Amino acid sequence: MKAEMCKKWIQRQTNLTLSEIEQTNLIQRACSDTDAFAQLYLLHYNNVFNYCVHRLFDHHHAEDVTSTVFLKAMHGLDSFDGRAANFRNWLLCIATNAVNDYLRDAKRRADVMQRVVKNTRAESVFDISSDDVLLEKKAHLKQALLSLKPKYQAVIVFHFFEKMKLTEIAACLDKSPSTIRTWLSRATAKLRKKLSADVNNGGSIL
Amino acid sequence: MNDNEKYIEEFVKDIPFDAPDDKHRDTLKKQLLSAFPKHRLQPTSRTFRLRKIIMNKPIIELSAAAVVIVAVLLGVYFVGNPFGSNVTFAQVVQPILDAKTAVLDIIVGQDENGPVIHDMVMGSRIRRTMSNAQDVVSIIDLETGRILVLTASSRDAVYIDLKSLPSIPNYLDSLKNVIARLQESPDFSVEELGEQDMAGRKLIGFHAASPKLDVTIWADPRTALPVRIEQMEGQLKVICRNVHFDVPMDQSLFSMEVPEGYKLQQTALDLMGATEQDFIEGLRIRAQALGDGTFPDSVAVEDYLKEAPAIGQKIGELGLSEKEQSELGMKLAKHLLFIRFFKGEGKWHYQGRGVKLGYANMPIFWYRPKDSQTYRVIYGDLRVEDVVPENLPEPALPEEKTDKGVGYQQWSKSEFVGTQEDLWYITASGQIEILSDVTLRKGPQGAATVAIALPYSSGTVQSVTLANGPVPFAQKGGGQYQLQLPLEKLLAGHTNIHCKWTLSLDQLEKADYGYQVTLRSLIPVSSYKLTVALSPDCGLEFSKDPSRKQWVPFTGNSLGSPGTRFGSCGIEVRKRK
Repeated sequence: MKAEMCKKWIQRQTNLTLSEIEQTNLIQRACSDTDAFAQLYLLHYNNVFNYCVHRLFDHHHAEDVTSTVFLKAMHGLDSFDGRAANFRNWLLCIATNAVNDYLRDAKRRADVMQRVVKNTRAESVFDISSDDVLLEKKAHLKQALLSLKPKYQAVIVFHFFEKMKLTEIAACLDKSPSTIRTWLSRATAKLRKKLSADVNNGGSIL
Repeated sequence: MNDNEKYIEEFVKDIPFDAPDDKHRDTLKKQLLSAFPKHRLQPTSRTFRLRKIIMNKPIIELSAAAVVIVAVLLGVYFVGNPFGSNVTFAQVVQPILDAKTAVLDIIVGQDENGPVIHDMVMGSRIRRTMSNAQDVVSIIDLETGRILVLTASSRDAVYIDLKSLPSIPNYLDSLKNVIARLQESPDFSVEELGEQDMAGRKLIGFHAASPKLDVTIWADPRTALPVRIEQMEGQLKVICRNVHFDVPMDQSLFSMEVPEGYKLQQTALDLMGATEQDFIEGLRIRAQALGDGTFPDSVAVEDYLKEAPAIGQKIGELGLSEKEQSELGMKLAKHLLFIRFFKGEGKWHYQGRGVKLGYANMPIFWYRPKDSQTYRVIYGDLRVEDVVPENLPEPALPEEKTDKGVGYQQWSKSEFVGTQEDLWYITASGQIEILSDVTLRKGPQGAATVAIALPYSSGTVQSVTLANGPVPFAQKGGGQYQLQLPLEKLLAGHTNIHCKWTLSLDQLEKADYGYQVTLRSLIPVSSYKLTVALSPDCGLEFSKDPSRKQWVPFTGNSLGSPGTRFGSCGIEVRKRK
């Protein structure tokens, strides 16, 4: 890491907690130290995987995209110029683009959809101890969510699964909080409509 | 939250999703690290500091991996014993006396699963390999005091002339003479240990002891052939196992000639010449260059042997030139030789585990030089003081020593349990730097995630390590953290977790006598110990004894099952007068 960047970080550290300082140092070291990078990776693996699996509903696809995210992060780490607190957002931004790219491939999207149905059936048939109602709800959610625009999918997952604030989502997607508020409002309305429609067609869910 | 959001929140509640898979996480980690951009692997600032340390002294011409040389030397366990001439003993030692050749495995220390030194012996020469450095072969000629180290992968050959090595014409003679020397002692005694099952074999044991030597020989009761020899030398335990005598071997295996195509280097090492300053220099290197600023867990030879390959790899990653690597290796060799051929009176004591380099008031090592009335005490800032016996630091509790080596067990319960020692170091800035040293004893089957809770919610974890490797941790709020432990290391016996955390002194409850401290362990423990140390410039002193640099205000055991709460205790400090 260049000296100027180090200075920038030091100047910003006045308002950081010690934990953030520790992580900021870790990010700095991770640029040229494989041990530090490994530590950083382990710290954030679960965050990235969970976001991907909430977006893709399949752990194989989620693992594929998680791999892509960390590979991109590794190569772009020295371009990350920010606080440790922003690092998770930076990774989730990469993850959002990676998931969107993944879904953009129509064939792959169809495959995802197919797997959704297949997995749900398999779980329903063989996993006797599972809650069938929850699995059915999951299938409805998958179909409804994946039919939305990618940006709406992202805000739904950030808000309802990753429990992120509007400002954090805004930072991730490089939009203003008011834009995110609008997107979230439209996304929830559309998703509710789809879920309700599915429920009406297939029976009571809630 | 509007109606739509409420609806969705309710809808998604409890829907199950796949959890992250440890296997994928680990596989991806390996893939990423192997693809890490090489051009970015630059020497770190630590390398520059190290370079400065090294460049203070002339560089010797040596390009072999000196760390391996150290390991080789450490295995020469009988060097330095005086040798007698009378050779008589009981029936079980007769094969040793008659043997012309031998093959044996040597273990240094208590851990039989640790690295194994494999020796083939013929006359004065030993052909030696180590289980954790398999491309290195050493031929040791005890008669001329010379070692030839051959590294196959780099095709390096190094002759090392060992100074202070007494000429030993025959390796097996030295073994015989250890027994002979025992016999010469007026206090010599032999105790029959009876028959025991060892590694699936029924063996009969004899314990032979004198004030200076201690040998246990296990033999096959049917053939009277010794198969295992255990020897205590000072604080070092050496076990020879799988011993076979008179095994036919080709003499060419013991050649001191350098094979064709090898690059030859030469150096010399004085086995008995290591000084206190060499030892201190090694401590500095191990803390500053090879560690994270804290001293190693142990300076014992057996522990170094286990770590030698990892240390070698670490040195390789520092970006040093071959010369610098060699010089560093030789410095470490001298550091270890100080312990290996310890020349002080009685035992040495080490308490540097987890202590940061620079902690001026923390004694980390002490010993009594030969014929001295006072002890030499080395502190965390590596200064040395002469200390009278009554002012020596308190040694570790006896029960901690017996705990060592118990290992880690998986059990049916859902919690992790262990023991904990805390070191609270009060600094000049009003911060307390705390090292919680947790030794895990038991944990749930297959579980690697452990939740810890700091006794103060405002405390902040700085780092967590296990077996010198970082442990990932996630903050859960309110002083609670989740650690992701490497299960394979735990199961391999690495059970010490070093958790470094900080706390503002203001957070402690003030009292007339100083401060009142909440005693709470990070996980349920069966015993808890708190040590408080004061930085010289923190402006405080211990009220009862201002000359003291550290104090143990609490040691306690959990009654019944392991617990986390041990009440509270006072730290009696006042402003320095």
